[in-house]
Amino acid sequence: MDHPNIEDQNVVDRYLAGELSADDEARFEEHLFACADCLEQVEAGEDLRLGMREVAAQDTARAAQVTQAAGLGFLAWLGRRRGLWAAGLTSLGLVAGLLVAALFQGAPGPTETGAPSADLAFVSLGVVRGAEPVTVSLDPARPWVLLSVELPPGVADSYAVSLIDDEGDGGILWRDDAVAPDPYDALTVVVPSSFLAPGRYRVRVAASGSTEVTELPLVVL
Amino acid sequence: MSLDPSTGAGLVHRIASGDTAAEAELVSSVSRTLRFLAGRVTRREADAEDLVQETLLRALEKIRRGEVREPERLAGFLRSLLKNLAVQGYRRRHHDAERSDAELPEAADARSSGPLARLLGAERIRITREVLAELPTARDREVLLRYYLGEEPSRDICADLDLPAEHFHRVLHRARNRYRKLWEQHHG
Repeated sequence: MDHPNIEDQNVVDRYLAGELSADDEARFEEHLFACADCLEQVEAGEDLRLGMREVAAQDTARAAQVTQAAGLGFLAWLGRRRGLWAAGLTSLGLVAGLLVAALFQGAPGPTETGAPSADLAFVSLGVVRGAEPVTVSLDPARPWVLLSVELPPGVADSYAVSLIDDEGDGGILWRDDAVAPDPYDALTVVVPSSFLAPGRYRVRVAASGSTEVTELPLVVL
Repeated sequence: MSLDPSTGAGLVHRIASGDTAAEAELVSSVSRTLRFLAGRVTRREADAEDLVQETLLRALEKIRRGEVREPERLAGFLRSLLKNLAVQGYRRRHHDAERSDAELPEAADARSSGPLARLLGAERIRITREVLAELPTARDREVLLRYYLGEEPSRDICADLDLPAEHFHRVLHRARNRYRKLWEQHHG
């Protein structure tokens, strides 16, 4: 396995993704003993993969802290919506109970290195991508789902984000009225995976103080 | 020092002749690659370090006894040995009282220490955030997030984003290179 061949065929990426055949993987790994450049490439790729998971875990922990405070406000907001209380106190109480229980599970525990870890699924939604629904399969073993909503340019300082069940009574499953964009112009929110059973949902986004609403359809298989 | 076939064969012959300096050269030249491969297999830093140490110990024993039949394929031998040990459960021999670290020439670095691992982890997070912040478009960021975080196949990402494969690989290549440069800037 020579270097021009490795570059032409994007071997580094395919190796890191586990897309090489067993023979090619063996040949490339043997090549790593002889090629410092390729070794640095794969090390950087692995570090970047690990770094992004650690960044997501940090952001998850921060979002969970904000969500805890917002959850109490959400319950108070629900209390003011008489129509919802009248419609189904039992189901509402169940949702609220799930929300409170999920919120006070707290942030995921530390790893061996002391860095926060997160057992979470990741869903990316793009405002700029248009109205086509995002379809995902979620691993039920992962207790949290990180929703990352990409924003258009000219962002506001704060957004109201709601997760709406598009089936059944179309109720709001989760809401936070004060989500700040992250440094990458995206809104990062974390919800318990129990809120996203297979079905159809909408993520509603509105800049604080604005009447303009964007709704992003989401299908969970 | 890279371990091309001729270098590897030379080291094997020297070690088999009792050259202890050659043993140190071997450890120095292959530890980093073994550490990377062990990390891919074990996914835990402490286990990876154990595996590297065990691989080096076993390799040196076999080379000293003249059991490496194809010295020019030393790299393949080391790789296979590491994988086999990982499968066999090298940890059964970790508590063998007869083995000691004094048998092994000093390893290249001590990344497995707890405080150092935490420091490196914090540095990794900082550099990763910088790499993400420098990406020119939201689409490029989505490529990295879905590939590295979502672990989605490249073909699915390209199909979904209507992205040519070459652009996809270019984004990954640039991100990795930027990561390397930032790491080198900080660590010299």
